[in-house]
Amino acid sequence: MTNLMDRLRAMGEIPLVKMSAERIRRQWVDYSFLGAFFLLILVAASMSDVFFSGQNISNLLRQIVTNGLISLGMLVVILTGGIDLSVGSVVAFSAIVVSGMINKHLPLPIAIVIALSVGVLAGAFNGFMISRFKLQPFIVTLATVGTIRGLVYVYSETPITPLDQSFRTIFSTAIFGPFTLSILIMLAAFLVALFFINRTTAGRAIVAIGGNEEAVRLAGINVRRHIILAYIISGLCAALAGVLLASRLGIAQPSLGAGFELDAIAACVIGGATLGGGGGGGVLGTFGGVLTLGLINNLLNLFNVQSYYQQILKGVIILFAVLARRSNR
Amino acid sequence: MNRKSLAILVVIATFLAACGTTSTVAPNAQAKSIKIGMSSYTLCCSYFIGMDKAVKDGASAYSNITVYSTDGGGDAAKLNSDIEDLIAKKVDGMIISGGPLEQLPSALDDLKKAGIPVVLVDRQWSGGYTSYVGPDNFIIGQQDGQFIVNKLGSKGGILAVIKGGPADNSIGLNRTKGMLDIVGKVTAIKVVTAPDFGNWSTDDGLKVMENLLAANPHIDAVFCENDSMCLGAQRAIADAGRTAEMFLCAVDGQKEALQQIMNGSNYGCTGRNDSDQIGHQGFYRLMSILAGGTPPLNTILPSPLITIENAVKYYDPNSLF
Amino acid sequence: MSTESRNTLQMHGICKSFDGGLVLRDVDFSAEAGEVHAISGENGAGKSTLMRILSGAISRDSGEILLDGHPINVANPFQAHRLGIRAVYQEFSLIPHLTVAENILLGQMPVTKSVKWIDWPKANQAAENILQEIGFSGLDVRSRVSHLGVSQQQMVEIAKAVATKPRILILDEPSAVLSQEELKRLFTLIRKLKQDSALVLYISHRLDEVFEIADRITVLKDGQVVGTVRPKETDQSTLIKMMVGRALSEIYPKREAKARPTVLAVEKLSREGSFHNISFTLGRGEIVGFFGLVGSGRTQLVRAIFGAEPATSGEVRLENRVLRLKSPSDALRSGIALLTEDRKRDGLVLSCSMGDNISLASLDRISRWGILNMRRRNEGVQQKIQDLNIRPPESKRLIRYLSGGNQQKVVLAKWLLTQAKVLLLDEPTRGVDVATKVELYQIMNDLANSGVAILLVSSELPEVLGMSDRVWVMRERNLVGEFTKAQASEENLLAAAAGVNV
Repeated sequence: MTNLMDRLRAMGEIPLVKMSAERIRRQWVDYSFLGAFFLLILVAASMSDVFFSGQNISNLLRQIVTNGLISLGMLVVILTGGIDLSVGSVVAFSAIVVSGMINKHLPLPIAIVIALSVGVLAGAFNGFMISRFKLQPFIVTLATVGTIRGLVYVYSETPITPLDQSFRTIFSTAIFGPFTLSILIMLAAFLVALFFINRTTAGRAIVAIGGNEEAVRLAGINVRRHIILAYIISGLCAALAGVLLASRLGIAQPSLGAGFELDAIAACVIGGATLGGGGGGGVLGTFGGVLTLGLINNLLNLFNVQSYYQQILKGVIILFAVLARRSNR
Repeated sequence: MNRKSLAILVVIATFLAACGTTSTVAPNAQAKSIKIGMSSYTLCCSYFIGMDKAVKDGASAYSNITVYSTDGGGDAAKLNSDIEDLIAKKVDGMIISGGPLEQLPSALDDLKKAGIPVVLVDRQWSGGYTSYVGPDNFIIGQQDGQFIVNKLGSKGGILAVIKGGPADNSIGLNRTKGMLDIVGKVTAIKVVTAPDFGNWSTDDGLKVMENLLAANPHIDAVFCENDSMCLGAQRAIADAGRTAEMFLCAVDGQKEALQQIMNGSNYGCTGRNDSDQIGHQGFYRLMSILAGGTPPLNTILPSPLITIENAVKYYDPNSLF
Repeated sequence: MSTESRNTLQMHGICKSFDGGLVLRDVDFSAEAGEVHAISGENGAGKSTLMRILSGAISRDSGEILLDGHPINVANPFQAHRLGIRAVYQEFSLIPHLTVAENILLGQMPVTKSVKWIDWPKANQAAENILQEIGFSGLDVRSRVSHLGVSQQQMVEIAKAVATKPRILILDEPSAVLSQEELKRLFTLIRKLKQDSALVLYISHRLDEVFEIADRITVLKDGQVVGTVRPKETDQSTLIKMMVGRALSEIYPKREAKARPTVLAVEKLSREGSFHNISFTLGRGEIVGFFGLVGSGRTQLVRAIFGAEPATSGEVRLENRVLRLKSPSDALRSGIALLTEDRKRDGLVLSCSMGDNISLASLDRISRWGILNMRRRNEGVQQKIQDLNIRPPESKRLIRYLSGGNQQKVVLAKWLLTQAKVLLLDEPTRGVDVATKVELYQIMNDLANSGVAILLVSSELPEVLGMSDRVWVMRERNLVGEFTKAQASEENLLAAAAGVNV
């Protein structure tokens, strides 16, 4: 455990013990969220007999895979000061394409690679339009939401059921404990992102671009290339989520993924990200956000609470997250 | 800062506590308690809410039955997660209202593995369930088609079709397919399909009809995949002063549509889909399965065609829908 | 002079703390109508905070404010306006999408009698009259504020405040963006306001300005009043001593004039509309000053040498190699770095940490295959923090929590970490307190002595004269003169910059 903490510290995610008063105050907000989060789990555990059952934990983890991956891509884009509204459509596109390719009897790995490249292309297009023509990310990705969704329906108007049984089992068979391959892929993605954002030149450049694009350009860094890279990462993550979702559901619906972008943005914001201005928000925070949203859903289902209350609680948590951080500025 | 964080904790805790205590009222401790899951693809609209309510209403008479109801929010992935949660909750039986979904193999597999019987209501899937109770949208469409053919007679005419969308919504597709199954046999009827979807709503139905009116100098009949769109279309036709030119036909049996039909307007017919009836039937079907009965695989509930002759019989001014 | 009892404005026992730190402690301050009262002190001494309390922008923790002997309550800027207190801050409050006239007359635009439409001719005329009256004519009242240069915006900002005929006018660093010519007009205006018995409170880093315009100077240090002096009875070094708390025997380090081998040679460099046919050389270990009025093209020239806005013709040679300068990364790779004039706009990433900012321009240098070598990064950053004495020395601290002087040091550290051979410094001491300035001068001197060639662009004459081995003067996009250290004097540099014969 200590070893892990040291390594996380080295990556800059966890502050050194030596902190100034104001740093402690800032950290306190994050820790208070952590506290709230554990309280949530405690309340759940004490009140539900099934929450800690292996099956439910496995459910919870599998349920956050989709939003987890999308949020990760969204975080990278938000760090550049942008936003990617098109992720939901990309999820549908890759889900439909991977199912279609499988039914054309392409080998599984090739079908998946084709589906992922769809996401890469969509992201590259978004990034290119935004960085080359200096267009607002909100507008560009708002436009591609419809464009990509339209392409999905052009590809197939009806749902596609992937006939290859192995596509459905490969990601959902438990490897150890409650961990399926899909869960491991998501956890690995978070670790890679943690490393990418904190330890690579591209990651640091992306974080800095969100704070001050001109300063980064004057530091001799190719801003345009990094913005495109950020959107490619977002597209890739969404496409990966789409593949895993198609495998999980066993059917790819062209209308899949509508509104997914909002949950992803919510997870990033709960994790501390700031929209528009870049800055704030980290990989661990986003994971916390994803887990929180997943928990709300899972717990309230177990408690048989009407979905309307879930929506209310989601909104309340987002607002509190933003409010608590605002007072630190 | 301290106080604020504390406030957050307290709010979240009390919220959860409140939710937990109010909703999980323990049923009669002596009797064997039965847990039923009711998962809807969406609770967007009164039609689906009515079905959800009917199941709860059916269960409310029994003190030892608890209904766990979930709302997929129009997202197949969320519906799948909801069902998983209910399996973890160890429900004794499931009722699923699948909305426009074609199939959800992984959820059905999981339910089968857990040995939980599944009753599909309203929406039939391609397999993997225990029993289905609901309407047949293809037959409803055929009924409308017959009405249109009868009314246009041998000289035929131009029939405009407004679809709900999106393109993978099989409820609408089946309604139109059923209608065309009859209408297509009459060569004198020319079918014009609106290029846009009416999105199942009155305002978009109006917009789509306006475009149809502009593009077609003469129209004899209009078919919509639901009543809401046709109510909007009727308005557009009236605004264009072409009420006498055409009549409308739709599906659902919405209160406002019944009113129009009773009043003898150009609203010709609708097919009755009673979500309350479907919900109740679904509940009792599941009960009989849990009691050990062997049910028929599919039960198609009758969806009578409603015209000016019988509209008054179905009209209920207090109806939700 | 008047007695203390006639004081128009009195502030008693003002205290203010931010985030637990006491910014003002028990400040007593008084000033009278018809005087120009300057407030001096290092950055963070509490000058701006005091003025913001007076203008209602922030609230005080304790203490009272008296106007004509009556206690007043200024809870917000609106109340301050009604009492006749107006302030012009460093950050503009102008609305960029509206015209100059609209900004000046904001909230009191004339309307036509019949239909209540805006009476544009009348509005423009009124705005023009106001500008005329205060001596700022020459601005087009119809142009949008966003189309104006920074100094012109500052003039509009001042005009907007003066238009309401305030009893107390607060000017917070008004000269930071003004040219010499514009400053002269501002001083004329201030003297006129004084005659109309207004009270002008003047905050500036530039001591020579303060000495020129102020009747009295109150010095703040660490949130406390050190004392109030009259310029006639004191001198700059005494004042600096009051501000800094220690004597500054020498502000500028001693530099040895000697011949140096050329490192950077610029030949016939031009960019349409920005600068024209510029040729000069820069020697190894040499500090060359570039002086000129705002808008003379100095900033554009250094940006072109850095590749930020490439030149359209001419060439730049570094150690006899012709450079291809199409982007900042070209320049950085060759060993040229540029410290830009506005650190907040394009020098710093405020939302990032000190370490991230310092390493930003050297990411390629401290990584392999795109993966950062954290040990090298942290060592490099820590080294620069030590070299430049950045306070506090915490590399993980967010930039926004640093003082202006330390922020500027971070920018400089960023460029030093690239191991640049040529440093282009554009207004490196702008908005920096005196103590840090002295440190920066010492650092520049050390750098030059270690062989770095420094091009120093500055609007502050004493700085140019004090630091440079040679001085070039730019006027209207052209290089108009070269002066050796011995030749250069305030008079001949100003004359060359303004285009008049001495």
